Amino acid sequence: MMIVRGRQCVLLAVACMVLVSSGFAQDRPVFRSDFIVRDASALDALIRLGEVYRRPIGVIVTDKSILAPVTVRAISATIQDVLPALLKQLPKYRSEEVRGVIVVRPISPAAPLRQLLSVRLKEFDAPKANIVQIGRVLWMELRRNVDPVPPSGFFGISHEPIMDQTAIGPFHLAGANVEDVLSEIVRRHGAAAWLVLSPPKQLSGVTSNRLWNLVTYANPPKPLEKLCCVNWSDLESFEE
Amino acid sequence: MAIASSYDSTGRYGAQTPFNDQLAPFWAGGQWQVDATHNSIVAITNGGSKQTTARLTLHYNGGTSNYVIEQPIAAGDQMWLNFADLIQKSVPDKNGNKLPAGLTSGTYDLRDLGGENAGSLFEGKVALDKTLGHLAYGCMMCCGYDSAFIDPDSLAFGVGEDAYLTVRGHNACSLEWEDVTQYYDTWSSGDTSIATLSAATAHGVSAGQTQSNASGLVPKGDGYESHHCPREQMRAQLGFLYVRIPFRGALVTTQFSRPNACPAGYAGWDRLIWERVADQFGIVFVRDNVNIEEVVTAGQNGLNLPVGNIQTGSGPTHDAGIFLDEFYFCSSVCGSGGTGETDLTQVLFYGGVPVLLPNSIALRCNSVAWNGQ
Repeated sequence: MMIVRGRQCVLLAVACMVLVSSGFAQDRPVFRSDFIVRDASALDALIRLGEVYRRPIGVIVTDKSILAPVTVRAISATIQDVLPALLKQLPKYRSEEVRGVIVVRPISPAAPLRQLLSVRLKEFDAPKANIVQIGRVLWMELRRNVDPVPPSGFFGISHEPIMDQTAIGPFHLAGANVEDVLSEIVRRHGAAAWLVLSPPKQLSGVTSNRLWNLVTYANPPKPLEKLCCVNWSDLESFEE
Repeated sequence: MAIASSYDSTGRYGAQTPFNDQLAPFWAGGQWQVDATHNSIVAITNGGSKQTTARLTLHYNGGTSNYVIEQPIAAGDQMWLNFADLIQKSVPDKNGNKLPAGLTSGTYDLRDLGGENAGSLFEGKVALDKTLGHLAYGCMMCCGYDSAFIDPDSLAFGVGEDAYLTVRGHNACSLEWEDVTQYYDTWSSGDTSIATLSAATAHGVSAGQTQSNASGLVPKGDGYESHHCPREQMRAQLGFLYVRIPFRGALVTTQFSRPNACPAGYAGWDRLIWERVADQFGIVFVRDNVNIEEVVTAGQNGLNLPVGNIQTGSGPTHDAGIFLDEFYFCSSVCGSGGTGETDLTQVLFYGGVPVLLPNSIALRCNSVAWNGQ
């Protein structure tokens, strides 16, 4: 198998690709697929990785390097083959697998990111609903935890298509933090990803689409911009 | 019609050349004959100063069949065509058609395809009679245009947008409508505060309706005149320009209207509609990938929603101008079994341009009403 990154060709022996450091579960049946991206943004490539291998993914974005172009050509490869080749081109990020969800996170996350993802919810009750709706409930619970006065409700308008009306839930989590809940949502869906982009320093009063996005995969795979919802202006506002 | 003649010393065998010395873009009415005793040879001369392309069309079978030859001719140069050769050597035309072997006569017309430079061709024909008898030849007649109109006769476009017009002229010989835009060099708008118009291009300035006008020097031959092919000033029948503005939202359909998923202690509603934006004439905009955004303000707030912090979004139009408008809320008032109504005003922005009439949104515990619907 050959993996091409930029102008370099890296030969990877499939037999050697045991990703001990990333903690991949070894009990899954090995799924192989061609994975070819050329000069795609790293974020697009990560979402495509989840789409091709039908694995839920979480991505915590810390800077614009996530939009840098990457090139990977892998033939009949496993996800364990492809992910390191992708991350080699994203030196500020690392990955880990948490109960079946591959989480790509910055090696040095900014304080607002840590603050948001680590907010611990005493109880989280997800109704039977699609992942976008459950994401809104999570936002409501977050508000109840961080606002001095619990909100009397919320109202929103969206112009984004709900790509997938598949209902998950109900489920209950106790003592979980925001990242845990996001991962539980995509894990239960099975073909979805969560993205957290540059939250503001103050979480109080922030609308949900400024905090995270929940994306359902397409089959055949599509670029992220075709899937929905990412507020790219948030990325544009990153400081180098 | 001028005719140049040449005969042998006996005066029994000869050739005559009827020819036109008028430059024109379109000539019609030529007759030709080819049989055991006749042949027709046509010479087409480019009398202009630039290369042009001539199209000679032979009509036969009572005008039901055509044979088309197109050929560039340099300035001052000639194209010669021997009709007997075309038939006997089965020379294919530009469309691959061949003249039938037994064909003996028909008519033809000549067109200058030189665009703005059209009008530089003249034609002469040598009609050969191989035995005694009269010569068979015809005259080329100048074909011009007897009327014209601006096409399209009504054109709608947005503020800041360009839109393109043509002029269609009625050919006095073929009776067909043809693009004659190249002759029209004077364009004007009835109201430049609504739209400007020049060089067949209209530009939207502000919402409203006005007229489009065009005039130019157009060939006026009527198919009977062979000595003159004059150009005369002709005004095209006026058209109408409609400069559109985003005026109101138009409901297409409701995808769903259902209870919203809310945390414990809250209840609410979730409605997703498909919508388009219509202009002041009631015509919907059908462009895709136009970004939709909004500004929302609140009136009465019986559901006690945090209306000072409303989550709004943006999204593109698709499928001929459709965009999604989803309204969702959770309220502690509804969650505790109460009732009430929260009223909102949604000003849409269509590609950054505000839609003039805002949408009114009424939220109740078991419904979301959009403009009363």
